[in-house]
Amino acid sequence: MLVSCFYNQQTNLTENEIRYLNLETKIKCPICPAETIAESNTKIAKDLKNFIKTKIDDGWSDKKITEFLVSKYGIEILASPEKKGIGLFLWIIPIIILVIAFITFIILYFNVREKRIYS
Amino acid sequence: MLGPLGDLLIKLSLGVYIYSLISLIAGIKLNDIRLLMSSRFSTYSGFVLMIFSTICLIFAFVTHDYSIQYVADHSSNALPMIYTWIAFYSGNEGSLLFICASLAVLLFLFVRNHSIGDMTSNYSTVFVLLFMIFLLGTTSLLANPFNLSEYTPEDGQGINPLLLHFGMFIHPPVQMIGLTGVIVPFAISLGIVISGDMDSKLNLLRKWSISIWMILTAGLALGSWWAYTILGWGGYWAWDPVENSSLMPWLIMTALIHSLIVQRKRNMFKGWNIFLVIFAFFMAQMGMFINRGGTVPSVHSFASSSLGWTFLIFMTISTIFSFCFFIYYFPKLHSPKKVNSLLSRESFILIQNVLFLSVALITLMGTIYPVFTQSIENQEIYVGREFYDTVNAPILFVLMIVLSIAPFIPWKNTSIKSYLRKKIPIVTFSILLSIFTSWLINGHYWVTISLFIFYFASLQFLLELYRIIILPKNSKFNFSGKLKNIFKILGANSSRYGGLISHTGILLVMLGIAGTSFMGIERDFALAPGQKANFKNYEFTYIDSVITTKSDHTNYKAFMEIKKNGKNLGTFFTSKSYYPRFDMNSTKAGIIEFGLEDFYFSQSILSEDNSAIFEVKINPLVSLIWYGTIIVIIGALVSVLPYFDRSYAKSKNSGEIK
Repeated sequence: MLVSCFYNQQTNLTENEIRYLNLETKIKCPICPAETIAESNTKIAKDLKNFIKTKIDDGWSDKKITEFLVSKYGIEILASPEKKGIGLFLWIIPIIILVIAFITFIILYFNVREKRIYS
Repeated sequence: MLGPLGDLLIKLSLGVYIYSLISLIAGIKLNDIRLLMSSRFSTYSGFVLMIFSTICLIFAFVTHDYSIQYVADHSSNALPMIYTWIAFYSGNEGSLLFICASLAVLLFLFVRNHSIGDMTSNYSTVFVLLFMIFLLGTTSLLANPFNLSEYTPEDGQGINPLLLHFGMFIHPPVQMIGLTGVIVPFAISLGIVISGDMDSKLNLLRKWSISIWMILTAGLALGSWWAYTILGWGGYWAWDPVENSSLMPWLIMTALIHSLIVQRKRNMFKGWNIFLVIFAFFMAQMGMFINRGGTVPSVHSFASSSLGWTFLIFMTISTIFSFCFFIYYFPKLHSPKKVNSLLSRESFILIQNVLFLSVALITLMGTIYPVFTQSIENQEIYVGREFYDTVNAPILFVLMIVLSIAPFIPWKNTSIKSYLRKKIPIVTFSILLSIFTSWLINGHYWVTISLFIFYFASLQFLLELYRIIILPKNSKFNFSGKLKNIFKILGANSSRYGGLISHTGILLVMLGIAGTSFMGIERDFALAPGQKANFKNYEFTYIDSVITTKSDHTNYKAFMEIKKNGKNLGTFFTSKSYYPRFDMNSTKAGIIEFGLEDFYFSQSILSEDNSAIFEVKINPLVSLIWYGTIIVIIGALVSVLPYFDRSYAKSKNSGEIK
């Protein structure tokens, strides 16, 4: 029973389908304002979905597919920027914010403390 | 005729509000009760004028008065009567008028509920009035919904078809009221700071904050529900910029209502609370700016306009003002007490606050990052789900752990030994329970972990209820006596129990999110009429499609017979409408709720022989999100409604309640 809970055995999807589901949320629909192809109902999104499906079945790797799409549509096709170049700073921001948060916590925690000591 | 009348009403109410502000300030300065009185009555009349101008616009929609530009742009003859309510706020000008009207209502409620000599509230009213005048000025001078069109067309442009949905009757208004409503807690705290009357107004601030927070919660949930049922992709949250902009104030308001508890119980965090409320108001304005400015692309750009700069200017001024204000009054705000130990409720609430702020800031950065890259490097990028999921989900998960611990840890101090000794039985029991439940529903391990957090928190809650309701021997041991007792006890500490009820709801939402994200599966099926398919333990037969053509759209309805585990559930349909005028599809998914699991199907491509491609999804536990939100709102109501609040005044300042 314990093992069954920690082992995800309930999907009867094939490996390719899981890869497809993962990929379709990473590619943005080129003509929609803010939707990935998984969410969009437009024709181009459907075409891109089919493209990804066939390429996965052809044995392309995820990386090859995304690289191909980026070369064709530019990096705005990615639903989130890669962790390099122009997108790198975006991924650093959360770390900076969490560090600031930690410092804020320490300041609030100890600042209030000092006041008691001196007053 | 309605156009000039509505225009006149808006401009009159703008004048009335300006007068009200002037006489209020004069009244405060001269300490003249007649001026204050006069200001109060002019807010009342401003409110009445606003209501009438709103009615004017609705009436123009109902009577198809296309001489008004806004009506011609956002409705048509084919539009059913009830949808005129949606058409009313479906564009920039109308939604601005709606915001003004709802702020007028809030202002009316706020002014009505304080006595005339109550200086703190008078100060607060000044800020609300300033915001009111800004919004109303923008509406009447720059985006007037009553502007006349150059010629009167026979038929209007029609409404965005995605908006024709039941959820749209409540989601946008609730969201707009919530976002504008953040001004009220903001104004109250600024008023409190000026007058220095911190203690007597704290409950007022708490109640308004929770109420606004509750409205924001409802708005978010309704929006998700709308996306889930009509956008046809089977999800409920897309991290769209406008969704983010309504989430950010919610996050900060959540932090605020928690740290207000610390101020009430322990008289700490005064300055911090003011900072939070200023930040919440900033975020709410940011939301308006993002929504109206159209700088960030979004699916919500119904209300986009060129008005972004007015909101940007107002936001900059108000933020600079509030931070100067904060710094000026900061010395007055220091708290006499201190955080004693890391293992205390106040320190946990502080952790919670800081984490919520981090999530809000990260979301803000992600939302505006594309603007930076666009303007600096001239490179268009898009920040979506992957970023927010990887970054925010872990923080929110830690917050859930904090949530399960914090309410049941004592104030001030506790030793780690005694705490662990107390909690070990509950922890063990929750682990067993969660493994058992997860085994029953065949859950993913993240669902098991979420279940553990859920059980851990709710068992502690139940145990506490047991201790205070069932255990005391003094009352007669009969059921009805106990039942009466429940309300008495809940009433005696309604803020705590309301909070705990809300927590249970939030944990249910978390379970729903974990269930759908880790256990949801989807697959596309190409089916000809009469063909069968199997997916997981479902078997479904595509019966046929029916096509109907209406004046403004074509509707495709596909019927499907569904069986689960061999048991027939019945016949269901999914429908899709194509609106040629907008070149837009609106999908209504077929959603069959079975237990807590949804069988979700939508039709994507229909061929000539009526064979179609269906996107089928199985979303386990998704209903928990909607039920959980209802529980959250019930909890919030319990903590603010006067009925439960009768003994609040007595229990106030009476020290800690375990």
